[in-house]
Amino acid sequence: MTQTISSDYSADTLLVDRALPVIDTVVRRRCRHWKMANDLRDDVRAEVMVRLVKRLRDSESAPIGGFEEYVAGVTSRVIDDVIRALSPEWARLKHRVRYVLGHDDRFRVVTLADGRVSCSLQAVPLLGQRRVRTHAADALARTMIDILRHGEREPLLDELVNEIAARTGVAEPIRTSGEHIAATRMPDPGALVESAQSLRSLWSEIAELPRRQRLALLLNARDAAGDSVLRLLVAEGIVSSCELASALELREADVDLFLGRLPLMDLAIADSLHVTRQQVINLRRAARDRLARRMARKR
Amino acid sequence: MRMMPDYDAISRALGGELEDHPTYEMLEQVVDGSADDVTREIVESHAAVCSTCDAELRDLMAFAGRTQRSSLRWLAAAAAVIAVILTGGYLWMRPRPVEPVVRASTHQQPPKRVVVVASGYGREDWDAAVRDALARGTIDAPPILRELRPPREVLRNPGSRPATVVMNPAGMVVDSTTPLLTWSARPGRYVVSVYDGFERVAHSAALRSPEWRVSPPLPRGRTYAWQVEIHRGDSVELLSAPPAPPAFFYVLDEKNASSLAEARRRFPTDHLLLGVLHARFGMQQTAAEELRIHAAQHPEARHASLADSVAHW
Repeated sequence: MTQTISSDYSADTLLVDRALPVIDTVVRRRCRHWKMANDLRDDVRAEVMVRLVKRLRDSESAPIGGFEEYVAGVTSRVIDDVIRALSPEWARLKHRVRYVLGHDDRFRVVTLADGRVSCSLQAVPLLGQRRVRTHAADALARTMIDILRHGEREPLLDELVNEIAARTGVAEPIRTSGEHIAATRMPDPGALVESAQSLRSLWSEIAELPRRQRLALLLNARDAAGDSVLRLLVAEGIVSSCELASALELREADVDLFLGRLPLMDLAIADSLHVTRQQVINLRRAARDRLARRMARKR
Repeated sequence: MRMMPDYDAISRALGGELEDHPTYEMLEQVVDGSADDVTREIVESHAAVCSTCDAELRDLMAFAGRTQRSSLRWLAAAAAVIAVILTGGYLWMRPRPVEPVVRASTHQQPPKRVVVVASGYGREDWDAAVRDALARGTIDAPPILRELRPPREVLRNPGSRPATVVMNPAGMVVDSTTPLLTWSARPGRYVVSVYDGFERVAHSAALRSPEWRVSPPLPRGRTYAWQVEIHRGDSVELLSAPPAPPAFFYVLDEKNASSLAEARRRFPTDHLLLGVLHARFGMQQTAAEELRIHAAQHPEARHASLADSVAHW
């Protein structure tokens, strides 16, 4: 079903009536072979909810089309994050399997209606000559062919990865005893900024951002009233106008004049960076994510 | 502690916020080299602060038989350009042999005529370089020029392409630590920035004419990228911009610069030696000019071919 979520739709109703059943279905489906602690499902559910609420409040993003599909996707990603924390070897093995499936003509993948991916061999095994031409890939492909040739049915992707993990001992099949959601989370550093000193620390990280990420963040940064916050930074003595000039790649003498033009719309930033508006948004998100992780490390 | 209102506004506008890790599809695109430059930048900058994703990216690259060199493609803006320089910079920071490598000419008949030259410079490396050039009748481009001359990017959605621009120096080695940068004139005011890695090491004031001599002097033995911002009203145009490759130049390292200075001082009219040394150091234009002068003075075919081989790099 494809449906655009209108702003007047009750968020609570949306989350409780439509999101929760999808989350539970995906968790049940993907984690049924896990030895899962009782509270893990609740943790996954809570984490998905947090991400959904954030997304629904995000004014920059386009409206969600196909809400159930979106919720299923977010849930899967949360579960992927849990797996990464639980068993990074398993996560890397899954990437390898996906890579072979997508780059070797002997394999066939079908995405089912519910988003699950089933794997099989092509009906004509030698059809096509695409291969991943490394020893590791060749060995993995041979294992995959053996599993798929002798299996009773077409396995789902996670099942195939589990089988390979069991056979090769590369990674343990997923087992969990709880508290793994916490490992995927970090404190929101935005809430930690509480003093000039911590803002100063934040600024030093902003200055280290890749150029396009830095400009995508700074040129659009605004307060609740819609005014650029960069002037505040200087007024509060957090950064000098020289530092601001350097971050914005301006001459110091031009800073005042330039600040008067801020904040810039994303389209204007996109034009000057030679990227699309969506890429500006993506660059800004990447900047915020990088800042979050860097600031969390500092703590 | 109670947050001050102004701090709160700043932190909400600029503070960090965790986003999802890059998807498998994004990693795959980076591994395959099919990611657009923004996706690649996002993945690579995320991997730089996320050890899990960094490990996943490296593992997939190794598994697929790819190397990190695939990231040495054109990146549309300076930060990404700088990432390219860093990769290239590694290659150039490693020790390089002073002595020129004498290549065996396995596919060529040995010269029938014995050329007796280049035995009295008092430096074995100069003697060997000139002797080798004359014996082979050609001089190969040094590897640094490949690093300084990335291919043009193929745009996924080539809409309006920027007009061809000329930037000088670009893709070359320079001897001066304060090179004169010139570029195609466009309407507007120019601001030039020179980058070493992620760091902007020099920048101009707003300029009216399309040239600027770098100041302060640049350290030797480093690769630099430079770009020009053209300010017109509220808009800013960048030179260079995709699909043109970024403008790189390398400032000749101290040892080779000294060697060159010594050769100029001791043998100012020996255009063969000067041409060969400039060529060895990657200074194509000067090398070709010197070798042409030498060829005019020595009209044998072998001498003429040296200048031609350098001119065709």
